[in-house]
Amino acid sequence: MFAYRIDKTEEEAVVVFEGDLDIESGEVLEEDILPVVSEYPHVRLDFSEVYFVDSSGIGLIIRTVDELREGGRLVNIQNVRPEVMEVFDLLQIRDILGEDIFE
Amino acid sequence: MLMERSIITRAKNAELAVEEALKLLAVSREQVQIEVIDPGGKGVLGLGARLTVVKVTVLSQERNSSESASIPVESAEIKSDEFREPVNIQTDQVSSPSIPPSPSQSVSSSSSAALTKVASEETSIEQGGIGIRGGKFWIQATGSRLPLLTPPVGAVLYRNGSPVEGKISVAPDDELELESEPIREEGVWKIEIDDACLKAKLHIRPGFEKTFTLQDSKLQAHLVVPVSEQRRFLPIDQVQVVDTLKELGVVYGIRPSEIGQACQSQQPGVFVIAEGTPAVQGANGTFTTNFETETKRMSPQSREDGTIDYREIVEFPTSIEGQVLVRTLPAKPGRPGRDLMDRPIQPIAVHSIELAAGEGVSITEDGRRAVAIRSGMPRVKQQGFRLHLSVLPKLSHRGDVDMKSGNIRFRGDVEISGGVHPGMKVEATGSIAIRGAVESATVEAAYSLIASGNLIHTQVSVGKRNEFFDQVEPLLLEISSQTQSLQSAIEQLGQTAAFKLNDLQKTGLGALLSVLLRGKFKTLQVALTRFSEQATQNEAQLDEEWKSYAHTLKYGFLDLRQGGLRDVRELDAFRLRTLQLAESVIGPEDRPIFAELQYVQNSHVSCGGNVRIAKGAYNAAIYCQGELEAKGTVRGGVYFAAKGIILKEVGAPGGIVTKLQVPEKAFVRAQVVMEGTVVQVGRRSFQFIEAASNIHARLDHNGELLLF
Repeated sequence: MFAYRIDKTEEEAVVVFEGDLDIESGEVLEEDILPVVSEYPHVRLDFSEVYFVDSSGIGLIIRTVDELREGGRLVNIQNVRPEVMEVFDLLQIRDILGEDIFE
Repeated sequence: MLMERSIITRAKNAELAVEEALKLLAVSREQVQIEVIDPGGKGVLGLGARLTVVKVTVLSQERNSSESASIPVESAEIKSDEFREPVNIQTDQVSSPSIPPSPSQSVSSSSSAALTKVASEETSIEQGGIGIRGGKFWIQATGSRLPLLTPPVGAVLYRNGSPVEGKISVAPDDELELESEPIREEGVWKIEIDDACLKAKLHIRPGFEKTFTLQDSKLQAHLVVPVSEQRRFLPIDQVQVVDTLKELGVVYGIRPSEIGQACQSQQPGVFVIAEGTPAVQGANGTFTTNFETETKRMSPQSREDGTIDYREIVEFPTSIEGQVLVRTLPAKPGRPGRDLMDRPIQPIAVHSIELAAGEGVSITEDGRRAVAIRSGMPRVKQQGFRLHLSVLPKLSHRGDVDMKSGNIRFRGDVEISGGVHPGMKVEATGSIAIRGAVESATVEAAYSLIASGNLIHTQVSVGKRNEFFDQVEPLLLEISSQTQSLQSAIEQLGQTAAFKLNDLQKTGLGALLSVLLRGKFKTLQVALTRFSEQATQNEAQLDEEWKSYAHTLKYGFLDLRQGGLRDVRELDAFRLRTLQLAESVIGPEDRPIFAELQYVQNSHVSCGGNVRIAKGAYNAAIYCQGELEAKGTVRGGVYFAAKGIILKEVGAPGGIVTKLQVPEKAFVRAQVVMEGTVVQVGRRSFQFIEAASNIHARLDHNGELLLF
């Protein structure tokens, strides 16, 4: 199952995902989370509780990051678990979203 | 044997002793060597005085028998009673034949060299000597110098309990003893396995237990201790060898008898104790073609009215419906072998010829024959072990190409029995043959053009490949190789723990492809996009096969609104299709490109191969990548040929300029050149001011233009 929590401060919003980031959770990301966090200059996506991903989920993350950046926001992905990072590496996410995405 | 004559004398002093000796030997002082053995002593008040003892040896080159040597000694005995005793004793020793006791053992490590040395050093015995009698050392030190000893090789000799190393001097009270315990030298062996694990070699140096015993030897100043050696062979432990083989993992091809022989060998050597079975190599498949692959020239033929047609007739290769174009012989697979570890060794993989059917060709069910399913011109392209066959159809057009027939555009070969009227166009992806005249028209052939009539005000292009194919050829190769990498990347993803594949079943590969094409496979994305653009631009000239491929490519990868390719199976099918299309446009040109023309006037001809003009040219522009040859007269115009120009007559007297141009490595030959003609080779050009004949223009090695 997929859940999320948003920790807000004045400067940044940290979205902590819990569960699998896949085709089903994608909608939540696009419809619920994006409108809220796009108010903040710095958005952090926390993956510490994400254990599985699929191609649709990754596609959505990429789209979300792209959109936030277009709106002039600073976006980071943090606390990625090693097994998920393996998938990111195979897909060369660093290449797509830039080296600084995981800072 | 060399005998020395020497005598030992005693007297009150050395001088007297020598004199006495010289008298006895009956030689002069210059002929002897004098050695003072005991300088003697004065004693106290004449009591206890010792006599001086000298040894006088005749320096002689002659060989004396023992008898002759003893003569003066005998006479000395008679002449001098006083010296009888000492002289007699000493003479006995010196003159006795110095043959050492014969060695009891034939195996003797130091025997011959040592014995020779003994003989030659016999003279200095009086400095003391060492010998062996009855297996015991016997040391005598009569003078001020001590005898020398060299221990035997291999054996251990103790002096006073410690082993002797190297040459030493010995004193009479030294206790010398040869080690009586046997010395063991164990055999040494190792097993060597070659890189292919097909041979195990046992290298051995046999071991021995050696016992040494002293051999008797007469007294010598320097004794190289003669010993006899007894060896007992120590065989190598077979069990150990077998165990080591096992440890090395050798389980196949072991030869127990060879191991036995090796372990019992008393000579060092190398034994192959295990051998695998190498693989037997097979052979690749082969094929034979069953049609003429080259355009052939026919000899002149007689016309129906009895006259002879001297124009050369060129015929394209053709095949008829049902003709077997290619037969293949399958590959002969090899036989696997086994290595020492009992692992199979695979022979080098062999490949059968794979037949791929292009247009107009069908492959028999067994895959071994390609059959033409229509008449036309067969084409073969080979890429590795893949043979792509097609039969281009042939269009025979009776009569002229005019407003009534319309332009001709044909995928295949075109034959026109008439001429081509002004404004008309003939285009073929194969070759074109036109019997009649061509005026103010356009002719484009992918392979060759044979024009039997005149070309006037006509645009001719021969051998220019379809531009679309030129553009997409590298793209297709890129797409097919990248798709293969894409397939393995997807496979790899499927093996990671954190990646879920379920959505792919629901949505297709689209979502994954979009991520991959943005990241790892950016270059594939570029190639796909460029192909798609090319296909859209050239849509009009594409056939169904290409159109359908372009559609799959676009909606499978680029436009993902419908989800893209469904699954990996579709991806694989796409890759194979890409490869097949690539094969149909690439590969070595299987047919020659050329233009055979009669007379060219005010026309523009470009040709990818040779151009031959039978009658002549007037004010034409000809560019050819091969050789240009014209039989008649070439008047006016510009002519370029990459491989050289051969003309009969060129230029016009006082008329328009004729320019002949070739690259720097090529040449221009002409039998007759009129004034005003310009010849250019590389960057050097020359204009003839007056007529010349038999020119051969080319650059010399300095880059200077030579004309004749």
